[in-house]
Amino acid sequence: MNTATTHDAHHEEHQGGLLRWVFTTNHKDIGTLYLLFALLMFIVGGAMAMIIRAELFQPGLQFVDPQFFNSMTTMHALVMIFGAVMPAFVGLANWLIPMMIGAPDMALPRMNNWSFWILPFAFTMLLSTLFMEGGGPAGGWTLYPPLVLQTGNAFPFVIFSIHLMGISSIMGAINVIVTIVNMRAPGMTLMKMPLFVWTWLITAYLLIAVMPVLAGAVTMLLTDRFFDTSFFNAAGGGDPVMFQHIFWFFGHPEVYILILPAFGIVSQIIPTFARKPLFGYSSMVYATASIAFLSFIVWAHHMFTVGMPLAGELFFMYATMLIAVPTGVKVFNWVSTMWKGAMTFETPMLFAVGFVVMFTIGGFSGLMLAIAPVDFQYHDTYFVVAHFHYVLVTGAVFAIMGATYYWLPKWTGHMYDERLGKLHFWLSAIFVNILFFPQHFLGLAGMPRRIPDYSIQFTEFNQISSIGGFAFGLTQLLFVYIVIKTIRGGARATDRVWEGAHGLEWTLPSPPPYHSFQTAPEIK
Amino acid sequence: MAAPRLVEMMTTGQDDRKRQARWMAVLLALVAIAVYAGFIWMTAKGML
Amino acid sequence: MWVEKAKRVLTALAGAASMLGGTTASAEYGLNLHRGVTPISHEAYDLHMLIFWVCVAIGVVVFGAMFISIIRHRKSRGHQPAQFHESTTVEIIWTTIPFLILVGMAIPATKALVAMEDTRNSDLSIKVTGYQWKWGYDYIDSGVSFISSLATPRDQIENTAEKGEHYLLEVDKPLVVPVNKKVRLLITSNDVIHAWWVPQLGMKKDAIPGFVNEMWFRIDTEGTYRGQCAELCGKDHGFMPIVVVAKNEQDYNQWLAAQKAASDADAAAAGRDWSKAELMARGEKVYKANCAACHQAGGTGVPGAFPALKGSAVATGPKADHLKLVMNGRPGTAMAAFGGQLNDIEIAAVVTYERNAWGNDTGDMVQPSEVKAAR
Repeated sequence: MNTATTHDAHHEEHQGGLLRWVFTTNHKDIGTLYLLFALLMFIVGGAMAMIIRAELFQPGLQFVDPQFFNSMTTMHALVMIFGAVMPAFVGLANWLIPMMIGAPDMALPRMNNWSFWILPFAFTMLLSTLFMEGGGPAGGWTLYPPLVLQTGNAFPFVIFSIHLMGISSIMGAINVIVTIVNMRAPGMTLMKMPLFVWTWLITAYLLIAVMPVLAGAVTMLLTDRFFDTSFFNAAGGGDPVMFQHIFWFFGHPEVYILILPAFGIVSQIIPTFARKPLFGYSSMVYATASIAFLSFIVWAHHMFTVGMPLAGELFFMYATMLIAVPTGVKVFNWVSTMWKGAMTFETPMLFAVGFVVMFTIGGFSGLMLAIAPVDFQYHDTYFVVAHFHYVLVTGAVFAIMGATYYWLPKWTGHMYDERLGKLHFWLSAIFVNILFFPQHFLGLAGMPRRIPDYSIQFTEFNQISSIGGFAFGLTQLLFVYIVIKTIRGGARATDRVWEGAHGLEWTLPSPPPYHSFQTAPEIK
Repeated sequence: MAAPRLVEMMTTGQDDRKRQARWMAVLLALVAIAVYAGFIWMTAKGML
Repeated sequence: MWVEKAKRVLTALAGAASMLGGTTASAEYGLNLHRGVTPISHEAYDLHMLIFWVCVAIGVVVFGAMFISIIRHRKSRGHQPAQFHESTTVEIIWTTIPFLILVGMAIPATKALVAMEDTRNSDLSIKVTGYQWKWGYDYIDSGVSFISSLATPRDQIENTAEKGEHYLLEVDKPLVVPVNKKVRLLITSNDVIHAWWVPQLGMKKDAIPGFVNEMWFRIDTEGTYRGQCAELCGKDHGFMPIVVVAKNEQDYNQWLAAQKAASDADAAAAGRDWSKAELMARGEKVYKANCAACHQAGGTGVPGAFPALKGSAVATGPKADHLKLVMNGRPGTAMAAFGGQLNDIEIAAVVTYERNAWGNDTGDMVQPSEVKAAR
């Protein structure tokens, strides 16, 4: 802390060593921490997925017992959603939003530090439950009672770690909103903001609206278990289905929290490499806002089989189908941006194009799932597993990787190895399809999700899927290698980095100064 | 470290924006707490 | 061995390819939804295919435009970028057209949904109860009731024996229903949430404690149809299959009469005193079907998750407490209340077995009459 008193106002200064990272209030440092944490959790969650795929390689129980298998599926989801994808997006927001809107830093730097440093504690606690008596949580990431109440000693730790993640997300979201609303450079009107900033502004509002709902739901689980309340206990006059309604009131907007920033990223990358402005900027903003609005009124499509009244099923079916319209608008706009451009296919563009194609496939299966009378067949099968992995892995995760390749030269001042980057993309794109495409067939043929063992008719496709899974997992080690190599050195990156790049972040040097814009830039 | 000098460093007029940002953050946090309490209360009352 | 496996994988891949190519080899390789054997499953299948082809058509247009652009509008081919970036007309067009397509899909979907949810005028009602991890069936009109649990032997699951044709999809007592009758299921659960699903019947419904959900089906061909629990319900979620046997009217009535006779015989036998050997023999069967999944066949339990019975305080302590625990369960844990699932003979036998097996030599005996008194 002594540097604060001896500072030289126009010189970059920060503490050396590890303490720099513990006490940092700098948006770039915190962004880096978030991104590295997300990468670590991506590997941890990925390792769990490898255990799942190994057990499912053959029928019969080979490696793990069913209880541990269930806790792997549960933890894989919690770690990937709350530990990998969300922190990665917050890390990108931290790095990019101040640079994109011409601000020196985030509006509330100390809170920024706090919201990051809660996470390692939350996840240490969550992962430690695997070693507790009775094992980790095994009731699915959706935590449905009464099953989740059968969790052993791990239960209160799981609830508390979810509270911590929620607090961290809410603080991050508040920071994003107040930064965007208050810290824009003169002339940067809302409708001039880059789309990544727009999608994050909307995402942040979603977070503030729904993370407290999740916190409320898990608090009620906690009191049901330890203080004899009966919120969700039918025997005490409570209602187990109520939990599902509250959970999915959080859960569906959460799905869009995981994908809207990805839409923003792709909307930055495609115009750069098509060398052509984004088609339909304002319709993209309105489409994002309408998706966010619709996300609040479709939650019960996750629960078509719980026995809702016919009117309820019809309402949620229609509302869900409606989401296809703004999502379609987005896809059409991306394709039109590419149309008649002058495209080149560097790694970020490959990931963006891969995103558009495979996210759309996930969108199609989403549309099929929206149709309630057929959803009765799809629900809780591998068809659903295939669907949400197409939108989350080839959607959100591909966008994050594309973003990493796109901005890494700006962040580090070094170009990544283009040849390795392309190799990483092609291996990922091929193996991810070998991994998840056969799961559509498994689901349609009748394989339920979350089972550690299956009847022999499902063997072949599970084997194909597992092979794809192992190969996809290995490929990601290449990604880790490329990132480390780029941080440590490489060809110098220019300020603009990409020929077609537009936006304030590209006017700064690569790497940018510690405080992004010390004097606000003028936007014409 | 960086945070205290951030305000100094900002050009004129930005101090005000920083103060606004703080108030907004407090308001948003209150909204979050209200949503949290509201959902538990409504469930307890059997209104949902 | 490996060659054989590789061959199977390759055939499966070829099947996938041929489906993408448009032929319908689907049934053989299990690539597509079952058309099923009920009117609602046919309707679901037709809707599924309709939406699938609509998605394919949209995909061809969108991906087609995209790939033309990717191939032709490259910098390396010297293409100069156009600078257009908005058009209200096309935005309106591509908002309206998808909306109309959706309306076109919503109409048949609504019709199908209304038909599926209409459980009135049924010919037969069966109550289905989910337990961790088995299903209970009560024929409400005729008073027949039984528990249906996994019949696949443990050694097949643990890979010490060759797996059978219906591995994991076979039960000791299937649900038997008549064909061409509207069967209404009343679905509930005794512990956690389960879901009753047989793909061929076209419908899935959650079994929720404290709720009674309804669904119906009318099977049009005799046969055996297999399904599984579809909602995560704990450790053995993957091991609680459902088997439905559809018989013609005459065979069904015969089966029903036989079931009634068997349950009457049990009721009569519950009145008499049983010998220890009889109780131990019956008890071992009941234990294997209901208890061994958690407490293990040797009574050793799973440390940290399921307590051991071998030498445990309950199984070697007071008889009355042991009996009470088995009948009422232990709320908040996986230990179910077996009082509602098993009859007097079965409870008496299993408690006797637990108190005398694996070196728990208490010498105690529990008679069915004692269980009846404890109810």
